[in-house]
Amino acid sequence: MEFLATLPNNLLLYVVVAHALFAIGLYGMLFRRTLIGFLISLELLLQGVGINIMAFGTYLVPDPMQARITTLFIIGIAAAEAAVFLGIAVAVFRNYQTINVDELSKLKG
Amino acid sequence: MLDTVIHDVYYLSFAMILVLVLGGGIIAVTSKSLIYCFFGLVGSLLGVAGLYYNLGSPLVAVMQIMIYIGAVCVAIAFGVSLTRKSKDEGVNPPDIKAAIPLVLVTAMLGSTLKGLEGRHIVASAHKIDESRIGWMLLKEYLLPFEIISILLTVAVLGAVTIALINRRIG
Repeated sequence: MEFLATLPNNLLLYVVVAHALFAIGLYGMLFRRTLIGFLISLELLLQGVGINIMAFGTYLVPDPMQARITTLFIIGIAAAEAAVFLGIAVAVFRNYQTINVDELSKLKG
Repeated sequence: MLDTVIHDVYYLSFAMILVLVLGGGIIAVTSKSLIYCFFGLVGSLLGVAGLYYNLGSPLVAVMQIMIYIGAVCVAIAFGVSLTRKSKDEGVNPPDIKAAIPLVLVTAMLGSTLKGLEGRHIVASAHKIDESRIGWMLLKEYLLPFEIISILLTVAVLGAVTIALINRRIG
């Protein structure tokens, strides 16, 4: 019970949750069938990275501001990446009438 | 008496945040329909915002909600509705590949914990005055800040161009 009470302020918990989220995202990237599913899994993966940086920066660095700024940068870059990815997905759907990743094999030899 | 109740509610809310993060993530990668997937993602992002709040940063939590749920998720919703084809949806059945994330992430977690040995916890998650972020962004972090704004502009313009390219040629 004592251990449980300290959990919300414990670095270990945040690290484990971040890694679990990373694993879930990686699983999704391997098994989803559509490009949009890829994007959703990718967002989860980036969330894992963000939690990790925020937790380490909060507990191990004397100045917690650096972690906050880094996390804000990661959020911004992820937004840019999502915009590009959605543009590509829409263009692919227009050209091939599908976004199923198993059927998108035009570059295959 | 009131103190214990408040503490219980706090722990309960923290447990619910964890359930939201992991449960939302699992729904997002395993459910068949892309719409359920989308709502799982929204739940997971909301939970992550809660984690940021618990780490002592309301600013990053609000930014997470505004940027991810307000912008990225709306864009994803449009993407889902523009490219929807129900026969394409769903997940491939799990096979031996499912071991890849498990092994990889276990190795990552192990090396992270190994690296944490000997590091001292020098701070704890408490709320601090975050108004310094604005000054820092405009002083020592000015270059990355400007580069990210250029990157965002280029990325959005590029996305619009790519999405329109077929219509222009055809």
